[in-house]
This record gives sequence, C-alpha cells and structure tokens, in this order.
Amino acid sequence: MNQFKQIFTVAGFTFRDAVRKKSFMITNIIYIVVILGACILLPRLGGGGTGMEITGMSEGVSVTEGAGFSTAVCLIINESEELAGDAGLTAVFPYTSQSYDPAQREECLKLVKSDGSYGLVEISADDPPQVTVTTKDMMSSFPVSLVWETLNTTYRAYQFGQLGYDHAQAAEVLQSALPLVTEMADPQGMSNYIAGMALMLLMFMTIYVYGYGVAMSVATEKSTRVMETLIVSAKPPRILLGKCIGMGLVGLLQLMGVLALSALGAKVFIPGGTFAGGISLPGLTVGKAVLLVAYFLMGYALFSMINSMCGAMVSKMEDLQSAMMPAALISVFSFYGGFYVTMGATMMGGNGAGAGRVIMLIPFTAPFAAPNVLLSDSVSPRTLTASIAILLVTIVLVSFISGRVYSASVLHYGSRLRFADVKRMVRGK
Amino acid sequence: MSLTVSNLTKRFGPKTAVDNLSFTMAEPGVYGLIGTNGAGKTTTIRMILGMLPADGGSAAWDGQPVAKGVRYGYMPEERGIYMKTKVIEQLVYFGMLRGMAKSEALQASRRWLERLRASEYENMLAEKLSKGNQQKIQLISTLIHDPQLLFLDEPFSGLDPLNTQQFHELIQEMAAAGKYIIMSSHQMSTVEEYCREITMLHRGQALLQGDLKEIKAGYGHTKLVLGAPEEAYAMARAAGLRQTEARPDENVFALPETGADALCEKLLRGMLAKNIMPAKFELSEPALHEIFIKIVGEEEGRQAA
Repeated sequence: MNQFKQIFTVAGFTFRDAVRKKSFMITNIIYIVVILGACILLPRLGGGGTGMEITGMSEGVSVTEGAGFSTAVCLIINESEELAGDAGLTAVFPYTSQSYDPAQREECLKLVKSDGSYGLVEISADDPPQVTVTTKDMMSSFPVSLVWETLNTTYRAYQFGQLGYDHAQAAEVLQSALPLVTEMADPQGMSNYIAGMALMLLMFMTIYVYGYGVAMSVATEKSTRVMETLIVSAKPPRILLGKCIGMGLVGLLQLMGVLALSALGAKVFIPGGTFAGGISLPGLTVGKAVLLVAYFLMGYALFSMINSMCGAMVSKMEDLQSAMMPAALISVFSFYGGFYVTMGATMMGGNGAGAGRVIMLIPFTAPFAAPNVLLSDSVSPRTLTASIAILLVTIVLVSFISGRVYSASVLHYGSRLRFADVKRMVRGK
Repeated sequence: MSLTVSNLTKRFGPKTAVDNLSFTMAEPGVYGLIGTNGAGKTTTIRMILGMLPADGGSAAWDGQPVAKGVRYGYMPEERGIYMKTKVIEQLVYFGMLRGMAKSEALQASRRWLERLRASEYENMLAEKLSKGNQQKIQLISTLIHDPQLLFLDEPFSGLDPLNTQQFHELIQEMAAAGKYIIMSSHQMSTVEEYCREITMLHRGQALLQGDLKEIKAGYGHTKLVLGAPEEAYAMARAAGLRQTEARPDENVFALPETGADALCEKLLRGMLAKNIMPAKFELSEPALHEIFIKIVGEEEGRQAA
C-alpha cells in the first residue's frame, strides 16, 4: 500500500511542479491563440483562392471548378490570324485578360515571375497556332488547363466558321457543356482525414514535449543532488513511475483541453456547411475515442521511459541535449513514418491497407499512426489487437531496461554514461 | 537495539573503496566515521542504507536490513533540495514520501522550521535562501519523520558559526533523546567534540576503531602546555623536552613516548623547589587529528615500504 502512496505522492508533486512552470502557461496561451485563430480564419479562407467551392448538400458535395480563379490574370500575346480579334479573345476568358505586343514579352515575363496568379499566354502565327503558357512555378495558381480549353473552343469555332457554319452559333454550341456534379460517397472522409492528421500532430507534440519533461525532471534531480535525498525515501522505480504518471497527466490534461477548445471554437466560429464537415466526426465512436486515449497513454509511456533513461545517464544539465539525441531521433522518425505512411495509405484507399497495417505493428510508430488509422477504419480488429499487444510488450521491456538504468545510474556522477555502462546496468552488474 | 556492520566490502573496478569493514553501534549517541576525502565514508553509509549493493558483508539493525528494520534519516554530503519549489511544499513532500499524512507532515515541517529559526522562509522558493538556510531545509527533510537512526554525512561543511552552533545543539539534543547518529567527517575537531566511538578509515580500511577516550588514553600524555616565567622554560628544555609551539603566554613541549609522566613530575618538583609557580602546567593527550596524522603516516610508510 505504501508503495502506491509513494508513487502517487511523486506523481502529485511532479504534476503540481509541471503545471506551475512558465513553459506550461506559455504553451497553453499559444494553443489558445492558434486554435481560436484557425477557427476564425478557416471559414474565411475556405471560399477563396483554392479553386473549389464546396456547397453543403443533403447527400453529398457539389464541386464547381473555376469559381475560385477570379484572381488569375491572363497576359496574352497573340500573333495568330486564326485566333485574331483580340478583343473577342480577351472577352471569352472568365479572368482578367490583358493583350500585349510581342515586343512587350520581357515585361510580361517580369509580371509572371512576380506573382503566381499571373500567366503569359503566347499564341504563335503558325497554322495551327502553337499555344505556350508560362507561369511562375509549379505552385502557381494560374489555371492553365482552363485557359487551354477556352482557346481550343475558340479555335474550333473559327474552324467551323471556315467550313461555312455561322461562327457565332458554332462558338455557342462549342462552349455549351454538360453540367458536371461531383459527389462524394464518403462525404466526411476528408473531415476524418484532416482530424486524424491534426490529432496525430497533437499527440506527437504532447508525447514529445512531456516525454522530454520527464527526462528534464530526472536530469534536474540528479544535477541538483536531490536524487540522493529522494532515493532513501522511495525506491527508484517508484520515483520513476510516479514522475511519468505526473508528467503524463499534465500532457493528457493539456491534450484534452486543446481538443475541447477546438470543438468549442469550431462550434462557435465555423458555421455548419461553411467548412468541410464542420466539426462532426462520424468516424469517431466512443470505442475509438477510448482507443485513441489508450494509444496516447501507451505512446507516452513508451517514449517517457526512453527519455527518463536518457535523463538518468547525465549528471549535468548541459549534457542532456546530446544524451537525448537518440531518443529524439526515434520520436521524430516514428512520427514522420506514421504520418507519411498513413497519409499515403489514405490516399491509396484499399491499396494502402498493407502499409497502414505494417505501421500499426511497429510499436514506435503505432501511437502516431493510430488517429488516422482508427478514424479511417483502414485496419482490421485483428491488426489492432496485435498492435496493442506488441506495444504493451515493448513498453514492459523498455520500462524494465529504463528502471534498471535509472536505479543504477542515479548515484552516478561525473562523465556521461557510455553504452557499455548501460549494457552492464541492464544486466544488473 | 544496535547497528551491526560486518565485513562490508565494496569494489569499483580494480579499486577497493571499502575493505572488510566491521563495527557495532550498540548504544544511542554519535558514532564517528572519520577519514580523508575518498577514504570510503560515504560509500560505507550508502551500503549500510542499501543505496549501493555491497560486494561482501552486511549491515543490519537488530538483525534486519537497515532500510527495513528502522526509521532512518540520511543527510547526504552534497546538499540537494528543489530550488524552484517553496520550502514548505518540499518538506511536506519529503514527509509524505516517508509515509506521513499530509497534515502530519505540514505540522512537523512548521515545528522544525520554528525550532531552527527558519519559519520566515516557509513560503519562499529554496533558491532565495542562503546556503546555510538551504542546509537547514535539508536537515529538516532528514529529520521530519522522527528517525531513530540518523546518518549525517559531513553535516557542518559550509556552515557559518551561528548555524554550526544551532546544528551542534540539535545533534546533542538528539543524542540525549536516545537517537543513534552516524556522523562522517574529515574535520577531526568536530568528531572529537561529538563522538563517543569512532572508526578511522583510510583507503577503505579501518585503521583505528573504538571508544575515543580509550584510544586517546592509550596514547598517554604527549605534550606539556607550560605557562610560566622564562626560567621554567629553560628548565624544561634542560630536562630534554622539545619545544613545539610558542604562544603569547605559554609554550608547548613534546613529551617522550616513554617516561613522560615521571619526567613531568620531576620538572614540576624542580620548579616548585625554586619557588617558580607556573600559571599553567597541563599534560595533554594527543588531539584526534594528531593521532590520525600519525596513524595514516605510519600506514603510508608501511605501504611505501
């Protein structure tokens, strides 16, 4: 009984110590500003510049391409007789169009280089005319395909005119198009995907920051020699466990706070229908929410144990950064592994299920991949069970090693421990 | 109740830090572990408390491991407290870790702060306190749960005279209250003042052990402190005594290892016969540090040979 009291005493002290830190307050303020800022700005950004106007429908979403290109500027240098009548040509474009002489080409290129929304359309005097479109770079928002399509229509109308058809009628027929409505069978899929990615990022940040907090706390107690007073009061594994629990509770509290604030912000500032999916996450059930929390806790347990081992290996705070390097690399690679593989798996649909399964079976990447995988239902319950089992076994193994190293190294002062020392400690020698 | 240390041994690689050390503390009071830096004092304490595994031997309180058999307190040589935490909070924390209820720990903390005249620092961050006051907080964290057995590792290092006096009174008070105190120090005068029994360590080995009074008595009188007119000093020198120290109103003479008492009696009689009345005629046993230097010197010589 006394051992539990000691663990919770350490956890309580660590918790109080962590929530009082300035860094915790500042992080909270940053989260509040970012979340509220995003909630306020997203609806405003959603309607412009992306080229996609998304309208809420009862059973799907209608996408109208082109409506968002109102900012595109088309600079035209036309030397073609077939596409003559510049006034007419500029009139058919739904964008701002300006005609230039070939001598003004350099001037046009300067404009294009300066702004991604500009495009230079050069039409040669050949028969048929050659169309060259110059944009700023790959990320330019200039609608090349739409421009090309408009020019094609105009050129075909001219050819029909040459064949004796009425030019105006031919142009009208060619410009008429079948109405296109794109519907999504899984209208909330994007919403789940975005939420999954956001959760993944949030979980990584929390696990990373509070795992690092455990290492800092251990290293501080060693460098200030509090450790020697502590270990005569409680056994080292109890101190370590209490410390991880305390710091983990702070992380969980902050994570829950961020999620609650995000939900509240979305409800207040994002009116239904303005932003894709609003705040509803049909992919999230109570069971999945519990699993998400479990994955967060398991991920935190795994990485905090690794970090505590790094913290215990140093006697001076200035050595902590270098001692933490391997742990930081494992965390970052695991996060990016989880992030890119699940992103790719989501985009590939059924074909990506294999990659999603593998990443869930690797204990270090599973906690970070879990949000996306769970929300998109991309792995089977069997894979999920195996993932949790492997993760738990790894946590037990890492905790055993960390406990050994922590217990053996708390009284080690002086130079940083080498790998050989750690191996010796794990063997209990 | 007794603390028994039997054949305790600790090796760090090729170096033997503590070599087959045994001693018993059978009565309350202060037991001194003395020795130079690196003699093995702290390692011995850590092994007794189970903080370091011993390579051989054992330490027991009434037949049980110390960590299980008795409520103990340990003040390490390197002071360690939470600098960014309020004094009262960390004292309560340490008390609770020692099994006290929160209210009980709070009450005890306040009582000790008052006892050590540090109540005004209760709600201050530890980093704001002077080194001496930080040391008081460390001592309170050691005593808060009322331990029966206490380990004080160099308790007076870095203390000013006022704080030293406070610590001094407290240690004597606790010894009188029946506590068992193991005090390690390399300051011989401190040990001499407090300890009834000692173990003198050098390079992990016990060179001298036992009752301090008996140890000193075993060396007999080794010096004469004489306060008298110049003629008396001349008589002492004529009797074959070597002057080792000149003080404003007195001189110190080294006595021979054999026949010292008889020689001094003869000298005193001679002075009285000449109507010289010395203001001071004091035969002294050797100070602990003199014994230490002598023994360690002999040991070093033996090892060199």
